[in-house]
Amino acid sequence: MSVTGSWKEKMWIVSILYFALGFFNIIFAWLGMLCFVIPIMMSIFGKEKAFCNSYCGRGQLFTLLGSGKKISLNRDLPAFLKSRWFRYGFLLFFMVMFVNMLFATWAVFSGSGSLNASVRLFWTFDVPWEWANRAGESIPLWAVQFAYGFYSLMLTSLILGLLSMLIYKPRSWCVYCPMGTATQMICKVREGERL
Amino acid sequence: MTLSVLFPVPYVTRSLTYGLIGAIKCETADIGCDHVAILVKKRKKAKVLRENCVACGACVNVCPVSAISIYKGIWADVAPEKCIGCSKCEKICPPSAITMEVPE
Repeated sequence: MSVTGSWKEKMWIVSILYFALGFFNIIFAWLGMLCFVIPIMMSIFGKEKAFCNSYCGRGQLFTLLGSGKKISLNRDLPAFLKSRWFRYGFLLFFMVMFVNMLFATWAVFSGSGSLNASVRLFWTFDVPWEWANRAGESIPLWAVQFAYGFYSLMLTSLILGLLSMLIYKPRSWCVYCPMGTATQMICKVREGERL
Repeated sequence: MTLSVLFPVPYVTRSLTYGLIGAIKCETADIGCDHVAILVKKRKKAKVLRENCVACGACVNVCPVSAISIYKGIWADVAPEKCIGCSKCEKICPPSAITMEVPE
């Protein structure tokens, strides 16, 4: 990192803070929407991949742990994980799972489903997380359900990223990060490049 | 004739990422000597395999001479005149899209 002490390089703290807040109060998971909206908006409005390049707290965290603290085996990423098919396939899978999560939110909103106060890791394993539900009556149940769903998504991807960081090069998550793929796709479409 | 006449000093002293090319003709050719049969080392430079690059910016952050920029959010672009061939970017590049090559 070239300029020391810049606030841009401290975004990894925000990343840690996000997961800490969600641990104690799940409603903070809504803040994660910023990680979805900001990169997309930046790439649409001509900032290209500035989010990945300078602001992504997760990327910084992986660099810090993997390159800084050297807790990475630094292996080469297997060819299939770098392939176009896997990257775009993972983006599609992520989007499908996001819609799936919206359905669960809708079910709670319409009253046909009840609140599932657990964090679903890897889209499969329910981890009880009731203590973080402190919303009470003031916040509608569907918003709480969405928060649980979103936190599950963020935590799953963090774990995947950490595993990639440990085994492969520190920022290997960036290769198949759905937001990274999506923003690069937007940039490619804008420039008329082959996807 | 001293070596420093034939070889610019930095080319000889820094050794990590050099490749070897060609032979240099001897200055004393006119007095009967044809060649000096010594190979000249040439500095390697970072080269980006564009189809593998994910434009994550890891190389940009690690480059000590700011020789790399992200072209329109699509791929990393190395300025060959700035590149010192330290291979930090090659080591950090998550999809291993950077290789060190001797420029033609």
